[in-house]
Amino acid sequence: MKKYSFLLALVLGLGLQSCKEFLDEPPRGQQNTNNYYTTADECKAAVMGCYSLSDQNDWWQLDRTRMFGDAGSDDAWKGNAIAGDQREFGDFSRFFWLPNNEWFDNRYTHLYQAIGNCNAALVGIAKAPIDPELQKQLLGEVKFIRAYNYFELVKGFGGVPLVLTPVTAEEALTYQRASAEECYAQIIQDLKDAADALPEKGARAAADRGRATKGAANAYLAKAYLFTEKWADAQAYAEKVISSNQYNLNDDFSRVWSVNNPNGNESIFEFNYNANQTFNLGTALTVVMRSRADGGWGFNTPSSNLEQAFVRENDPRLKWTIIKEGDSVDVKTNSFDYTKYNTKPSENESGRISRKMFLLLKDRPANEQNHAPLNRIELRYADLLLMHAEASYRLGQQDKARTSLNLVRARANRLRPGTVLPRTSSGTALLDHIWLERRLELAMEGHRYYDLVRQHRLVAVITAFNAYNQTSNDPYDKGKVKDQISDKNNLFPIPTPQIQLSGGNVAQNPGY
Amino acid sequence: MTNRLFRREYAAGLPLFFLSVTGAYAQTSTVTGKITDESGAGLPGVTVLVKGTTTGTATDNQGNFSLSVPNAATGVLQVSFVGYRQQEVPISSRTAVDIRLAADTKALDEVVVVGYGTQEKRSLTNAVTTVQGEDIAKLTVADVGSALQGKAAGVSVVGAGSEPGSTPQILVRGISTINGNSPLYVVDGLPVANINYLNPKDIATLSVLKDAASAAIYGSRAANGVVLITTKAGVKGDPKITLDVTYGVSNPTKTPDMASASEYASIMNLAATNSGRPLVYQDPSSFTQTTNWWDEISRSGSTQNYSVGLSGGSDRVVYSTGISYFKEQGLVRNSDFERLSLRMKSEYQAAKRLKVGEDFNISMTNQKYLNSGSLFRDAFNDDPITPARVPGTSGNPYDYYGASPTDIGNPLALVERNDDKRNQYFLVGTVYANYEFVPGLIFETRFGSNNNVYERNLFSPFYTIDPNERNQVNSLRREHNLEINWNNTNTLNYTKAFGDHNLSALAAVTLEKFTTRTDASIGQAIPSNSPDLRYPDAATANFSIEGNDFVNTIASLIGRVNYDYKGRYLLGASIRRDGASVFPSANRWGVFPSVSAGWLISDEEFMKGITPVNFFKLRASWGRVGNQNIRSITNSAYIGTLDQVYYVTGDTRTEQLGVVQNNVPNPNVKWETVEDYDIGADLAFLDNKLTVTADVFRRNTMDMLMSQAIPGHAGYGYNSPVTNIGSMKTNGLDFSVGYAKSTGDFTYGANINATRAISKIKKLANGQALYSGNTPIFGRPSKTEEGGYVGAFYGYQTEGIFQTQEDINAYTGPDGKLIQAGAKPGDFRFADLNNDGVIDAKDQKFIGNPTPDLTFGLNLTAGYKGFDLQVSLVGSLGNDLVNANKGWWYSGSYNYNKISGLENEAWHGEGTSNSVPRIVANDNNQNLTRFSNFYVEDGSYARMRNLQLGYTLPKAASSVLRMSSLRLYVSAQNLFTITNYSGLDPEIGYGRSYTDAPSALNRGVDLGNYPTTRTYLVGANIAF
Repeated sequence: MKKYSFLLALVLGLGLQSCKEFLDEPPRGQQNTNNYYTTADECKAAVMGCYSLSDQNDWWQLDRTRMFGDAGSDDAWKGNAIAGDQREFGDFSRFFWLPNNEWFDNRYTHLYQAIGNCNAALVGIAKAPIDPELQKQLLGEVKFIRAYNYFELVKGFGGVPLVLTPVTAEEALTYQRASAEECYAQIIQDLKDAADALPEKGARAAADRGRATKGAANAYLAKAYLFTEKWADAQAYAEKVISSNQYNLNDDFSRVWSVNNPNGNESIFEFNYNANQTFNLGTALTVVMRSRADGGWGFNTPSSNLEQAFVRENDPRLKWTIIKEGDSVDVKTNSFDYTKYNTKPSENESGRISRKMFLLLKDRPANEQNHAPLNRIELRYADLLLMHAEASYRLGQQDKARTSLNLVRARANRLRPGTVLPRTSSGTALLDHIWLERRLELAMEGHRYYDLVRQHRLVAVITAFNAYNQTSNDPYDKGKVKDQISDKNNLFPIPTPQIQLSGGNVAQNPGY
Repeated sequence: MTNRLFRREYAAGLPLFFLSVTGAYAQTSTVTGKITDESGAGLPGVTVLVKGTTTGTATDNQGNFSLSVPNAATGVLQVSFVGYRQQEVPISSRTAVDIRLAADTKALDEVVVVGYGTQEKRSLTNAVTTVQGEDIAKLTVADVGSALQGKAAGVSVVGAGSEPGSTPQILVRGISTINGNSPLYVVDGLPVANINYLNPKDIATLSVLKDAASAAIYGSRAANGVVLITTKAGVKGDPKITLDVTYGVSNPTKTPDMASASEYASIMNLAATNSGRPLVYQDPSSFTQTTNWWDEISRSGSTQNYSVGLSGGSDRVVYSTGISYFKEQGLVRNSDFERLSLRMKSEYQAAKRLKVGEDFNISMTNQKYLNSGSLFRDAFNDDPITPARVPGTSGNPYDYYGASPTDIGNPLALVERNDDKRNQYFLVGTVYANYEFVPGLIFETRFGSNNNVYERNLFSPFYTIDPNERNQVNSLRREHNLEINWNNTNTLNYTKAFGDHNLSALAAVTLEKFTTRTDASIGQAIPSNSPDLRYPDAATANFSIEGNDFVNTIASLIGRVNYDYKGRYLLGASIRRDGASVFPSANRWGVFPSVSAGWLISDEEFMKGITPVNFFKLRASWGRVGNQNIRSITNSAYIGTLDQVYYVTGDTRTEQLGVVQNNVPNPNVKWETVEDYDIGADLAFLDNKLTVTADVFRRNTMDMLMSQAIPGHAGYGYNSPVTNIGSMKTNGLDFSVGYAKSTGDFTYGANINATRAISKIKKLANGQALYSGNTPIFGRPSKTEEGGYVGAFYGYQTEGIFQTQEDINAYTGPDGKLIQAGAKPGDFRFADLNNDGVIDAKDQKFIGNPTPDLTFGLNLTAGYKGFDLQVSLVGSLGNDLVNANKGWWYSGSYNYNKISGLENEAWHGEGTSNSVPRIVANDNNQNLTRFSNFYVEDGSYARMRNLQLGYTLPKAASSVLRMSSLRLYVSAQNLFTITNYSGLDPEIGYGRSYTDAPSALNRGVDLGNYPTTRTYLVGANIAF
């Protein structure tokens, strides 16, 4: 037996000896968080990843919920008249907001995914052995991106869990919702840090245009203060942007939303796209919002109520905001007559589509969905001027308010001189004019719902809108109403999965 | 050693009837004889073994044998043959011994393949179920799992439609882990994950190791049970050629009855009217042409199997080889599966104490895969007005299809342009050597390798059906994945009898390495859609490549001891230590013990007088196995990995490289442990005609591994960490009762087996419930919480339908306010369970359970002269299903098609319905967008799985044809199904999930499946 015992020992021994090495199998083909953040290039790539996640690559992740600002207001309908086609968006549009509507959860989860990567990048870049100047700038850039995403969350959902460092799954479970004030305080802190660290737009190399700037950080500070009704701060930061002389309204209104004007004169912050066919680096909204007769899906169509707002003012911006059934937008081709635009009214709730998201046939890339190179402008100079006007008005500085307001109108007037004249109003009439200007200038750009909530008049405006529609003669959307509007719609519901997955630590908004 | 009742074969995976020729070296005399069946006809291929030795032979074509026996005075011949009862006949110094075999009455003396060896069933102390190859071969199906349905107590097989190349859900004793894994297959000693290469008809015998004590020996991957498969092996004797031929045609068991074009238009109008909207269709009756999308995409399916086998052996070598071809044409066009396999198995007596052997399987599978998870709801949901085809002039035939106003792409177009070929080339095999140092001490080393090359060619043509349904750039993708898995097992076995004490011990070391190398080339803008150009060389733009290596390893040390006293008191124990590379180094190793005991009561003196009881054994076992084998676990389970992405910047729109974290690492991830208690009894009565095996078991699953969904604010998007999420307790029982009798020319038998396994969650991480089974209509219907069932259905409770406004007005809360003020007559009345006057998330409760009370199989056999009949019935009792399709088929909120007759079935005035709500475009009452008991249905069913009638020609007739035997048969598979379930098929399997990864948590949620086929077959079994 002895010699066999020896053999046994040998076999088992050999097995044991090699086991430790045998079981070490690291993941291959990918860098990992243990060995990353060693060079400047790696740090820059981490920042680019944060931008990428703030925009995501497929239409359902974040792209489509950018329509919330329009369809959640009197500006637009669900659009696509087909029962059940994106039922969740139809429910959204008529304010029938169910917590289990996937669109809310997709938006919430993906905004947070960007924040999670920002948190990791902040830790990683801070430890990286790179040039301190560059390090400071990259950290500022990441803080801007984090603030942007928190802003997108808080303006819709209200206060949300404030996660500021990378967390494990287990740690995440302990978080509860912070108040909206706490979220805004953090947003403002991040933006201030970013403004300190980032270069102005003019100092960005041409190849880096589109990345965050000092001006973008200051503009978002103005916006954050506006949303929290800290009028003096809002005005001060808006004036920092104005006085920086980095932005102007020299581009015609017709060129604001154009594939040929990326990062144009008035662009403060925009997501940059291209038509690369291998990756999804473009938007889908040009398809999602175009007529179903013209290769689109027909969602988020402008209301006749919005059109009337232009018509009443004889405002030439109408042409660059809404395409109505039968409008001429281009030439006639074999397959489609662009001189008599067909919105396919049988499948379009309002016989209209957005001109701002409309690409001429020649500008459409192959497989346009997720590939359209029409940059998404998140904040532009006209918006900033109108924020300045509103803040100044609230501070009793009506001259300043009118000056900024009329800068915006002057540019609009260039479309057809003599139509958009300077406002001379004062008092509440001036405030109404500023609010109207926001509607006309920024229509279909995803801002209206959030403005109406901020201005404490969502329910009143939608109620008036419903009344208008019931007496309207519009051939397309007369009689249609957003019947489910109520006070609870001032906040999005917290998505059901978030309440479930947090074990109830994340609480629901009132009324849901 | 001859009197030993307890005997063990040492080479893992040795064929059941393998016979070596070690006896040839001993002092011998020769015995000859003839083995016949009950009618007196010679039986070829019968195994004749000298009991307690490995000396044996097989009968020739006439049933004759000749055997050298070492001790003719005291030796006993052990004669066994598949389908017949084993007999033992003392030689008593005779030189001629003729033996007549009786048809099998579930012999208890059969040898059972267990982990790293074999064991006689009578001395087994564990819960092991065996299935004979011939029972499996009665069904003509592509995969082993489908063949196993209803055959083995403790094994529940739930089909998921009959998609060619797909595999069913197999649960051994219920859900032991919630990760939806299939059991571990061990084929001829080699653990394999993918069993698709194997033709089920090549199986000689199959054992299912059900309790942890038996499975422990394959511990690191055994938590879902182990299926040990022994393929057909040669036996000593003249070459034997067998030929099996089967051909069958199939149609679906059931398809839903959908509305016609005019009915659909009329329902859409009604929905619009009920919601105050304008009519959708001005004149529904004008739609006289109905498109039945299912008819468009389907065809009659077919199944074919051809197998040729050759086996035989001499003193120094036995061999078995065969080639087989299987082809299944699916019910849906463009979905096919075929397999060509060649197998070789042989063993050599290389030297006096040295045996070497090999078995290899070289197979090729080709699958035309239907690349659409939702096709089988789309084909019923798409509107019936849109024509399937329209004329066109573009020159591109992929354009000539009707465009639906729904968001569903033309199903026929999808099927016809689908070009996703998936081919796999397998080389699976083992070589081994086994050396007997001294009698009883055997060392064996095995090197097994399981390799396959996976090749996928996917082509997406350009087409324009309408502006919303088009692809402007064609593209292709070619993938080559090379999978190399190897396994080295070294065992040392020692067996010794000390008087009445019998001892055997095993020590083993196994090393396993799993490597997958992936490689894909992607290109676009191929000049045309021509089949000749569907190759990467023809692509002109947008090239990209992908590829990586995935490697993980497992190392194990194993020890096992079995002891018995007089074969009457049986004890076994094992222990293993496993290390797996997927765990962080601190948690890498786990230790998993097991013990078992048995008592052969029928051998006791006091039982001698009780004649009706032929056999009575009690056994008990306890054991633990580790599990690391979950779908999503990789070596990056504990390390954060980074994906490369791009972001565009600058006026030139340049791509900038970015990185994002793509996973959620869990640095604390560790082994899952499954602990099993089993108490069982084996009994035989009435001359072994009636046999009963019954087990009760309890299984505790601890530190369950699964991908855990986490809140969005954790910052990882929809990625999930692999987490030890909690613990679960499963209680159950399984039993099998068999009866067999022959009266003259008439033989008959029945076997019924059943399984009950009820799992309840004990603990969940942080006490948090899990939600699963996501649907596009109402979100997740399944909830798993502490103290509850796994994936139970949780939702609202409807209390009928409001017939009148008065009903609505009368439904008030404690404050007197209307509970459903917005409701209209025809809407559901939802129960206000917490009595707070509002219907909200707090008014949900458990409204169904997908766990069956019992799954069962009933197998009946009968024979009369040359005729044989086999009936196999399978089913499930007491489980609930969620028919999620109702959310579309009963809803006016979608422009999808509805079930036929909905206008009448749905509420349309007082007293017209109390169960189906009114048809509306705006479902403001959330009749269908709330998950309620409206969707939950009883999923019990019984299905005639197989009905087979065969006729074996008399010897005289077959010998005229130069055949030693010829059997012809006809059979019907899935002939009928008895169920109250209103959906397509009560067998959902893992289903076609919407977003949640397949797992036991999604059980019973029906979102549409590939239909199940009913197949009619004819076939022949021929031996030469």
